Amino acid sequence: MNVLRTFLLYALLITCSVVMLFPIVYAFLISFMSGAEVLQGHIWPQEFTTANYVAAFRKVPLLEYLLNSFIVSFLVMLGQLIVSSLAAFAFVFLNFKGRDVLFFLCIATMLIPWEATMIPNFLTVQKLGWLNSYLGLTVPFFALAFGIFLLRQHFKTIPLELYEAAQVSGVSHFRFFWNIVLPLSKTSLITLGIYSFLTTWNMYLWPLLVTNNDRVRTVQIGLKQMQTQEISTEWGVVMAAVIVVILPTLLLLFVGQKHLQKGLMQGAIK
Amino acid sequence: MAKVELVHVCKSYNGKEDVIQDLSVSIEPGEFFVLVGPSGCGKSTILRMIAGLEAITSGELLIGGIKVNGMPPSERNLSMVFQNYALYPHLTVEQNITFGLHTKKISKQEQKKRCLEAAEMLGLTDFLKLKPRQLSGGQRQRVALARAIVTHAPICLMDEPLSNLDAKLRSKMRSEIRQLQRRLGITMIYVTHDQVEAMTMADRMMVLNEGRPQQIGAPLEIYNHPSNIFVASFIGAPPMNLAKAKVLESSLLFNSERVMRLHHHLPSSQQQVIVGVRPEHIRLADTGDEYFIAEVVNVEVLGTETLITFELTKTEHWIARWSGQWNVHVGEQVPLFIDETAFIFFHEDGQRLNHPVSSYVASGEERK
Repeated sequence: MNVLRTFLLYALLITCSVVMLFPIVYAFLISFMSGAEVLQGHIWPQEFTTANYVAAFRKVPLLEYLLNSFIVSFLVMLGQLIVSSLAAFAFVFLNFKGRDVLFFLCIATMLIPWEATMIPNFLTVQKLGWLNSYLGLTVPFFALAFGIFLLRQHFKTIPLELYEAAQVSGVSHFRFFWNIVLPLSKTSLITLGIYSFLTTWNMYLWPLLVTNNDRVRTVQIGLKQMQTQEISTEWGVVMAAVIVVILPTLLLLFVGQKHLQKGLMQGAIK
Repeated sequence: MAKVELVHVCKSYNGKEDVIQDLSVSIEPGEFFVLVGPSGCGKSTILRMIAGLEAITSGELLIGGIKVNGMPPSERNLSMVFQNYALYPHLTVEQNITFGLHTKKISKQEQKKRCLEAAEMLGLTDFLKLKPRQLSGGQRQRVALARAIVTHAPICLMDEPLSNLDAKLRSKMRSEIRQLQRRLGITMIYVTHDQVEAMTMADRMMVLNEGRPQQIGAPLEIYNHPSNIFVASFIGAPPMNLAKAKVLESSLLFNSERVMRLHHHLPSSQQQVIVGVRPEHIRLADTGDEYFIAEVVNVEVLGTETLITFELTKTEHWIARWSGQWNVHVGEQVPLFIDETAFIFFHEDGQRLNHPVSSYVASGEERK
């Protein structure tokens, strides 16, 4: 009975992971195929060719796009970490009137889909003259209700006595925040950092809206560009570019996996 | 040196019920003052009001003669030790001790010097580079104390600092804290629910119940002359024996079952009273004593003393405490004797009855 259960469980898990991984593996394999092979529907390339990779970098300014994506993702990550941690600190440690109402209001913004706010946001960014600039790509994402929520939950696990002890010894709010709260919340901060980096890295619609030249465009738009540049898409080249684009994501995920797990589990069982 | 005075202080969280009601007390410089009471009596709230972590609803708080009601904690020039120590887990012992000193405009060298001084005083010198989680409970407690004394604040507040320690360590830290306070000459305000801590450490103590001060005084004074039945039963282990009785001429009548004859110290006749006797005042009757017989229901031999629970009436049990080891069996009938002067009388509502003769005799005894 127990063996059967284990067998079934593993069979299910393996099936799921195959289904999940197939597109990525297939993309990886296609990136080494010549155009004819792709159309023939081969799964395994007859011979591995790197020509697609060379072509990918030649057709669009992929390196530039990658750099743009890095800058934008990094800035958004930084901005979200700063804004969310400061806001969460206020929601946990400072006592002011209407604090909880404000917090719930803040959480309630998670109910509004991002697409609904897109047009007003675009108009704002346009009026500010931030089109085609890093500002337009990053600033609208600095305030993140989810980030505030995540950090608040973690900050709440810090004993209030620590805050009171700091108050008695006359330590300023900011010093307490910087020297005590942040170091104690490392795992949550890393979780949030990875989360926001990845989300921004994968963003497509907004960068498309606020950019119309190559200067600050991000890599996801570059990929789309490749698909439609010519009459018939060269899938090998596109897939080569895709692999290049997901590499940093995968790397970050592997490095941060431990922290991510720890962070998302926190507060779940206490 | 600073005097701490509370003048008609009240505290209310919801604006309706007072958690602390009309509290007035003045704590002298250099005094070890203990706030003691059962959990939920408001003793921690009082401490937190003195610290400035809790606002005072009405009344005045004076430190060193200056009104400090609205002053933030850091400007009150005091230090505080928390129940769970409140150590910063990611900082070393040394960083924990010196964290916050920079706000007092103390140079790095002076910080270092003070830290070493405090560490030496508390035997922490070898642990300065360790993190709190590498320390035992007692050592963590010492770090918390060290953090309080490096500030050189004249007032130190402690909120049940020993409640997380085991019994043996607790009694050791009790005397250490007391010695430290004497050596530094600081004013100590100490909160505890443990009456043993209060009795052994305090210069003066205040017994609290449900937000109201019950009695303020030196430990022995409170032990010997409790002002009401709450204090009588809270202070002392085992607590004072209490029982309702009726005064009939020169006798006490317990539940119409047992009569005790008294000769002098009686409240006026025909009165319902509550009679209190400390367990150590109930002894085995000698020949010639006016004894009464009671049945033993439980015996606890503790080595240095023996606690004998006996039946005063069918529904009430009293405890006698005899020093030494006694071979008494459950079910045995023993002759007991209580000295008349040991009786303390309370009004039915719990307040101590003014009984000048008895109190005169008691204070005379003290002088002996």
